[in-house]
Amino acid sequence: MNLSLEDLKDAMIYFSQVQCQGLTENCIVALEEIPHSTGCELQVSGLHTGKISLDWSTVVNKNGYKEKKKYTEKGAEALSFFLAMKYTEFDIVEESIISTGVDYWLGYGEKHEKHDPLNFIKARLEISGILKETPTNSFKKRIEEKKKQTKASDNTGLPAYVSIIEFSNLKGHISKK
Amino acid sequence: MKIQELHREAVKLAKEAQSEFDNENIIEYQNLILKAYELEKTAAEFLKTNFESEPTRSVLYRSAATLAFKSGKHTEAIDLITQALQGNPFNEIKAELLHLLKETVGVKSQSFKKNDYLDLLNKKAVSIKLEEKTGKYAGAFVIPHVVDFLRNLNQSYQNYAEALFVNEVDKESLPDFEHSLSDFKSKSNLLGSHTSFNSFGINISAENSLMDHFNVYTKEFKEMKENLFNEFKSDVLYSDYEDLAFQERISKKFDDEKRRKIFQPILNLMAKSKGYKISITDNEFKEKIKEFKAPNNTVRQALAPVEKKEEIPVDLETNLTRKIEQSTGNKTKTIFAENIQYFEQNYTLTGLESENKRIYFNEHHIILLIFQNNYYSIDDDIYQISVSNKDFDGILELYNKTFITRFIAMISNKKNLSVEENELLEQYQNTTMRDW
Repeated sequence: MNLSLEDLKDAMIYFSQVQCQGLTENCIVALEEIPHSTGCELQVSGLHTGKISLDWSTVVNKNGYKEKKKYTEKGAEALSFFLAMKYTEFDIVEESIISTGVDYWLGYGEKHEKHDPLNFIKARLEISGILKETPTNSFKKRIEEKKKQTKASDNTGLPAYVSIIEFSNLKGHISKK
Repeated sequence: MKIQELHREAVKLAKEAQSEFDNENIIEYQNLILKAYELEKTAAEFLKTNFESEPTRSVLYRSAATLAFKSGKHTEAIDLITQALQGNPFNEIKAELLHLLKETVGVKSQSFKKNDYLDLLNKKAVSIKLEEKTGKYAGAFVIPHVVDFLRNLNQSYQNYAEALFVNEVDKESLPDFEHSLSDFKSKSNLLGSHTSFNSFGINISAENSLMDHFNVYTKEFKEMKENLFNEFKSDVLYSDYEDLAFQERISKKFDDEKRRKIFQPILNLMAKSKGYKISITDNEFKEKIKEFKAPNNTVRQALAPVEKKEEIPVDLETNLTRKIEQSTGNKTKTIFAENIQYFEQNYTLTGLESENKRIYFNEHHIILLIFQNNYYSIDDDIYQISVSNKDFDGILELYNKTFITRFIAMISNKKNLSVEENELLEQYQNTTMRDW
């Protein structure tokens, strides 16, 4: 399967094009930092197992992208949105306002038969990005940590999905908590 | 508007607010965060009785409560959290609501206000401490000393702002340079963002974006405004006055008159005769970073050189004199006369006039006229006008002109006014009648 990073701006109908282009650029910067080039493959696990070829053509002026933590985070958001829209039943991803940071929410699009205008938020999306994994901060450990945070399954917890992206070995994981 | 559209618009405004906050544009930040709060609250309240709409209901209420908290509306934040908890929030959201409630109640019960705006002011503030020299008050402080200190410090800052404005802004770039200068100076006030009452300590800061200038917005003015407080801190508060290199640099930056106006109020505070001593400290008012020492003659001459009488026309000096006269028949003689350094008087206005335009107040309006350091000044908090002038007639004319000019500017610029500016315009409109 192929994924063009520039397509994010068209896929995310409830986010502005400018914002989506920003996320795409951050993702390209994170990928090229390793360095990966267009055509590299993201190994996906969790809800889906397989490989996705990532393509891009934008030449990013990297003078404005010096903060690794920031472009890793934003780059992970871009890829996570693609994974969420592709492998969950939801196709709305939007932000919420909290005091400590940003949450993303999943829901049904307005044209979906299950869309409820009085309850358009259905699940939370938690995103985690690693630029280069290390023994103490590895992709596998991050998945395990997220799983431990899940309370005992009793159907009273908030539906939540976790997405973890690791750029150096190009791994992506999306699963339900 | 649908709930989701309201929420989306609120998120958009909140993000714009954050961007303004990051750029230290506080007034724009406050306006946007307030608008975001209003929208998110409206969205949440659509679901007030829809208890089955979870997680949407509690998420929206939590967002609205967060925005209320950021806007300083702590009571409203608590109310919104309570509304959310009356529904059936998921455990994760419930935990977050309770955490926000604890934070809000904690802040609300503190003796000082806490919000993003004050945090930002405190971040760039200077902590200054006053201590009584005698020690006889066992840590308490004399109120007139504090008043004296704050008045002189603010005077120095206003004079600094005026001097920098004259240095940096091209006269030709403004339609009415003198009016803009006076307006800018009067609005350049220091802010106290945190106080400690162990001795007297205060965080001093300034927020230049609070100043609105309807007819001034050149690039050089904007840059000058953004750098004003930092330069004041560097030149006036932190510099070593005895350092010859500093004296030389500041003499090149400001001429004798400007330096005198800036530094004289500070040198007054440092005088041996003062009953208190001043120091700049860390933000807990414990460790002293700089102590203000009594200035020697070299410092005085460098920073506040004595005016050369032959250079200044006598008719530009303003002195107030109090006289006691004895009259016997047709003969009058002065028994006692003294120059007054400080004078204040209330004036009652029924209306005012400028350039053939008249305003009538619905009820008598009282303004306080103050004379200090050779200037008259009026600070009118109700109509947010601050003016100063060397002449008694001049100050009243300037007040009238500023009032009417401002009124006209707000009416003609109504669409672009902020929430606070709109409230001010309502104040003008509701309390006066005009004849144009």
